[in-house]
Parts: sequence; structure tokens; C-alpha cells
Amino acid sequence: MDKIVINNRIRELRFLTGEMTQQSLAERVGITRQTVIALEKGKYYPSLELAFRIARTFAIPLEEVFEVADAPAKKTKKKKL
Amino acid sequence: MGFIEKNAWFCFVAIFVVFAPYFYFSFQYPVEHVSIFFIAVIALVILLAVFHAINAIATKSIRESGGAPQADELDDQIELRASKCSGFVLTALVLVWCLAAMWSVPVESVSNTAIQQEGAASIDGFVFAITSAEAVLWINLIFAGIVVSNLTYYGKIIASYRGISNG
Repeated sequence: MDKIVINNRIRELRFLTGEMTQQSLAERVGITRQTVIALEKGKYYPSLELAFRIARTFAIPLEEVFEVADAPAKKTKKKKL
Repeated sequence: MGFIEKNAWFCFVAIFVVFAPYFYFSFQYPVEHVSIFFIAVIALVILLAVFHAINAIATKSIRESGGAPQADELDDQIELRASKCSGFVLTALVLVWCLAAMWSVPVESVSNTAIQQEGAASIDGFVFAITSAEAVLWINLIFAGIVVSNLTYYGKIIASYRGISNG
């Protein structure tokens, strides 16, 4: 099964919401600043609960914060004739 | 660097600084230096207390709120992975220790009962000979396994946080 890549707009949304700092977002959502950094870099995918909390902080629907990236092209094996 | 990562660094360094010389001496002079075990434990407790105090003073959120920062889901996940990894290391080292003990501990003699019951699977009749120096050495070897497992635990936590920060 191919791994799903999830992109997020957290960094962009922080700046659109009055240039909110990573620390400020972390405090509002109840996580550490390190976790915000990991989320923004795409190093960590949040739980559903955390994802909803982040979306609620920005007052927008979940799918406007997180989106599934287009699946990378599959390597197809050449069939032996 | 977050509070938990700094904590992991402190624990890793403290364990290494205390137990590297401890094992150096205890493997060279197993019986003569049994008392250094207690010195090592006391040194570890003092070092950890000092490190934790420095970490608490250096962490802004502790200075402000007075309590340790709450671990979130990423911290929990990193800790679980580190526990799993150190568990594997400990299990592997204990297995190696058991196999090595089976091969290395010499059988001095076989009692009459075992000779009479020739072919019996029981090892009850075997008399194992082991000197006190060897006994201390084997105890230290399994203790070294526990220490290595602990170092793996903190090392894995540090590596996970470094991976997040540097990537």
C-alpha cells in the first residue's frame, strides 16, 4: 500500500492569523513548540483530535488546514512477455 | 531544544559518565572494586539531581508556571518508540548473556545420581564451579546490559528529537 502524504497550511495560516507565533499556537492547542515545528515541516502527522483542535484554533474546516498530497507516481514493473 | 530532550541528554550523559569508568574498573578488578557500585549509584543520583535542577532553572515555562511542561502526543509517541527499542536491546542482551553463561560456566563434576540416570535430560546432578570473581563478572555483565538498554532509550529519544529539528 502506498503511503499517504499529508500536507498542511499551518505556517501560512499562522501568518494570516495576525502573525501568530509557533509558541502561541502551541499554547492555544495544548502542545509543545517542538510539535508545531514538526507539524509544519511535515515530520509528524497529528492525531485526528489534534488536527481538529488546530483547525478550530484557526476557525476553519479541517480540510482547509490539512490535505492529502497527490500520490507519487508508482513504479510499474514491466511485464515479462 | 525542549525540556524533555534536554532531560534525555542529561540522563544519557550522566549514565555514560558514571558507568563507563565503573565498568572499566569492575571488569578489570571484579572482586576488589565491589564497593564502587555504591559510589557509582550515589554519583548518578547526585549528577541527575544537579542536571534536573539546572534544566528546571533554564526552562522558561517552569520558571513561570512552577511545574514541568506537559508532554503532548508527539512526546508520548517518541517515548513509546524509545521504550520499544530499548526493550528489544535488553531482550537481545539478556539472551546473549544466557547463551554465553551456558557456554562459559564450567561444569566441575557430575554427581552420582546423574551418572546412575545416564541419558536423563535433567541437569540436577551437575555441579557447576564458579569463583566469586567470575560470579561478580557475570553479574556486572548483565548489569551492563541494563545500562546499555537505558543508554539506548535516551539515545533514541535524543535521535528522534534531533530528527525533527534538523530535517
